[in-house]
Parts: sequence; structure tokens; C-alpha cells
Amino acid sequence: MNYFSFAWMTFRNRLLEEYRYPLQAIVNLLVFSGFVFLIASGSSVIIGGDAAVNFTRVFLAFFLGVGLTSIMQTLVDKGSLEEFYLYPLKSAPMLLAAGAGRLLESILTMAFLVYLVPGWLLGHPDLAWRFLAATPLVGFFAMGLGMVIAGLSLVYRKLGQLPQILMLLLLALAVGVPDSVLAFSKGWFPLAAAVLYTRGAAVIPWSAWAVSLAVFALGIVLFAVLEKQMFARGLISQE
Amino acid sequence: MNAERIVYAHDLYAAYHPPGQNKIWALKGSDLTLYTGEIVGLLGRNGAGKTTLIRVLLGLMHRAKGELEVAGLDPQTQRSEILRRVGAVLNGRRLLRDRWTPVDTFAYLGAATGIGVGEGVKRGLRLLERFGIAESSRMQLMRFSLGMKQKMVLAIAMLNDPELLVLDEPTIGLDVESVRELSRLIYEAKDEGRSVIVTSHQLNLLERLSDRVVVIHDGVTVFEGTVEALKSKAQGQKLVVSFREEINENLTALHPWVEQQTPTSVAIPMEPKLIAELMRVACENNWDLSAVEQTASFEDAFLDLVSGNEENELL
Repeated sequence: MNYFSFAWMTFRNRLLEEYRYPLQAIVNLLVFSGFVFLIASGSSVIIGGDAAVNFTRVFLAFFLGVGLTSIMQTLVDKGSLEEFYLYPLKSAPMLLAAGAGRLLESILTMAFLVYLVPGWLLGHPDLAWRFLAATPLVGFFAMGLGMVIAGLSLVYRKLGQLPQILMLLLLALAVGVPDSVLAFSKGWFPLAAAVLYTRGAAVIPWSAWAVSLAVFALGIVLFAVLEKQMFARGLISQE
Repeated sequence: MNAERIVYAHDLYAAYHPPGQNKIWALKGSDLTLYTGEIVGLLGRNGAGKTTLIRVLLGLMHRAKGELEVAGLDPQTQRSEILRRVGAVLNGRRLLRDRWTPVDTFAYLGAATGIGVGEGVKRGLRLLERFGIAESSRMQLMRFSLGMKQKMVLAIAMLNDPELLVLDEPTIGLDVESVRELSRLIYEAKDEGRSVIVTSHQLNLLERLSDRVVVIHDGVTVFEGTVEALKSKAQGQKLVVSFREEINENLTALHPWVEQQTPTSVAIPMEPKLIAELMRVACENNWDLSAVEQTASFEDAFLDLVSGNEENELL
């Protein structure tokens, strides 16, 4: 119950931050939508397909990127690692709860934008629902990878720009990879399965779900191993 | 003393060991005992091992060797249980998000500490009322002064109604008035039966607050006792010699421990040979002087202890 409550408070306070500065939030959303629309239009030229569908595809990749970085962002947002570890709740579930709170906020914002731009402006209202249906698949995969990155950052603090580079790589995948390649990888790469689903595939292959959940579990285990190293080596104070 | 022991650390060793680098021992035999309802000041120079000792006490870092108990528990294996009973401020700060209000912060921390959102807000507001800033409970933290923020930090540390408060540098950046106010709040915490460990570079604050002090030097506890005991352990007493007029003679050349206090006064150790030498020089020059015996200040005693250890090391 504590962890659900923590996830909810993360979600609530993030929304509150936006709500207190509505103009800034609206401008950010507009600029971001415009940016993604331009990328999606360019993608239509490179790999073909409808701009509305490509818009949703970029958002899925972006959502995966948010998931990847949200766990680490939770650690960073506490000001210091010590701050995070001063809470009595277990660290891994707490990180996952905070990550889930952040992802929930992203899902709502992105689903709204997908409904607004591809749905309302470009005439594909079903894309928002398909986007929503695909988010759990991408979300578990993203949080698993996010736990690995967060774990690595506990021991090897200087990860540099890795999360940002991964985000760019994901965007490149969304923009530049043709459907034939995605179809080849849909069984073991959840993002590919999710993208094809939003493009009209009937179902998401069960193997993509299995991979997503396996990466999620692996992330939790690796995080625990690396966290143990951090405590033993006294790395918590490293800036 | 009837009080129970809440912290017991004996002969603690702990090291930092980043990947690909050599191990650096930060604690090399540290001791600390704290009883319920007691304030202990933890002193040491920068890098002496104070913060490391606190990290080990809170289970944020594992010890390599030594005995350790906090509230009867082992921080290495029972960190969560300990943190339910301890409130801490490390490096003088806790999470304060500029765009949040105190109410948002307490709600979030109520969830994070496991006491519940409603209870967190209730306790937080009660603390703010006690600290005299209840009227700002719905103001965004970016509008808070440094003193108000530090009260928020203390309120956060006390949100889980802790038996033990660990305050590492709680007075960083505060003005005199805020430091005094914070001292009052720490005293109140003690009156409520809480035990407190405080570290600070403001020695006068620790002198005023602490029932006992623990001095760490180079990872080793070199003193544990009352402020008075520390003062009496210092390198003897001093004689402050005041002259009626400014003197031109360089008296510090007489002995390395002669300290020029003002243009018309010097302090010298109470050593008969040195006093006799000074009297000889004074007679030769016809100086009109008076002398007063002075016990070592807390600051002198602390510096004496840590620099004394340095000399021992060199030997």
C-alpha cells in the first residue's frame, strides 16, 4: 500500500508542478507537439507511411525513453543518493513506484497529445487508444532497462550522456527503421511490437510480452546486485 | 546514568573503494556512544571522518570491521527498521522542491516514510506551528528564506517522530539569529526525550548544545567526554599578559607557543621557565604589565587535541 501511495504522490506532485505554471506547461506541450510532428513528417518521407501514425510511433519511442530515464531521474531528483536512501521503504520497489508515477503522467500527457494531433487534427482517433494499449508493454520493458541504468549509475557514477544517447537512438529507431525490419524484430523487441500494433497489427506477440517482463525482472535483480556493491564500497557519497 | 544506550559504535573501520581506484580508509577505529535524551556533538576537521561515521550509523555505508548498534539494531542488515526510528539531515540539506509547498512536501514524505499521506501532513503542520512558520504552509518553497528552509529541513527530519536525530551541518549558511533558533529547537527535541547527534564547524554552537562531545581525527576517535573534560585535557592553562603601552619587542620569538593577542597583550603557556624569561625581558625594558590566568577555550582545546595528534603522527 505504501508503494502505491508513493507512486500516486509522485504522479500528483508532478501534475501540481505543471498546474501551478499553466502557461509554461501549455507552451511546452505545443512546442513539443510541433517538434514531434516535424519529425513524423520527415519520417513519412524517409520510410513512408502516414504522418499521424509516425507521430504516434515517435511518441512510443519517446515514452520508452522516459521510462529508461525516469528511474535514474528519481534518484537525481532527491538531491543526492543519500537523500533517497534515508527513506525506510525498500529502495527497488520505491524506485519502481516513483518510475510508475512518472510514467503515468507521461502516458496521460502523450495520450492526450496523440488524441489531439493524429486523432483530432489528422483524423485518426483510434491511434490514441492503440497508443494507450501498447504502453504497458513498453512501460515494463523501459522500467527494467531503467533499473539496469540506475544500478550501473550507483557503482559507475560517471555514466555521462548514456541516457540521452539511448533516447536519441530510440528516436532514430522510430523515425528511420522500415516496417520490414520492425516485423522481423517484433517477437523480441517490445518497441517494435508496440509500433506495429499502433500501425494496425491485430495483436502483440506473446513473446514480446515475455521479453518485456523478463527485462523488468532482470532489471530488478541487477539493481539489487549493484546496490549491494554501492553499500559495500561506500560509493553513496560519490558525486 | 539511567538512560539507555541508543548508539554504540566501537572500533569501527570503513573505507571508500570506487571501481578501479585504491581503497581509502575513512574510519580507522572510531567509537561513539549515545544515550537516550542526550546531545552529542561530533567534531573533527574537514575529512576527519564525521560524515562517514554518520553514514555507517545510518546504514548508508557498510563497515569493514567493528561493533555497531543503533537502537539495538544493526544498520548493515536492518537499515529500514532503523530509519523508521531515526531522522537525519546530511550535509545540512534535505529534499526541498522549489515548486512544492510544505503541504505537498509532507504529503510526499508521508508516503515515502511509510507513515501515510494524511498523517505526514498532520505531523508536518504541527511541526511548522511549533517552529513558528505555520502561516507559510501553503507557500511555495522557493519563497522561503534560508532560515525558514532550514526549519523545514528539521521538520522533515522529525516527521517520523524519531527517537534519534542525526544533524550533519544543520547550520550551514544560517545567520546568527537562525542558528540560535535552530539551537532552541534542538534543545526542545532533547527535552522531548530524543537523542541528538550534531556535527558542525561552529564550535561555539556545539559547546553550548552538547552534553558530551566526540572528537574524530583522521578516522580515529581521539576524545569522548564532556566539554569541560575536553578543555581540561587541553595543553594546560595560559597566562594572558597585558602591557600598559604597545611594545615593539617581538615576544612571539621567545617561544613558538607565545601568541600575540592584541598589540598590547600576549598569551603564553603556564611554564615557569617561559614566565621567568618574559619577566626578565619586561624588567630590562621597564614595561608596566599585569597578568591574568586563562583556561583554554573550547576552540583551543579542540585545536590542541587535533594538532597534537598530528604532531604524534609525525613522530
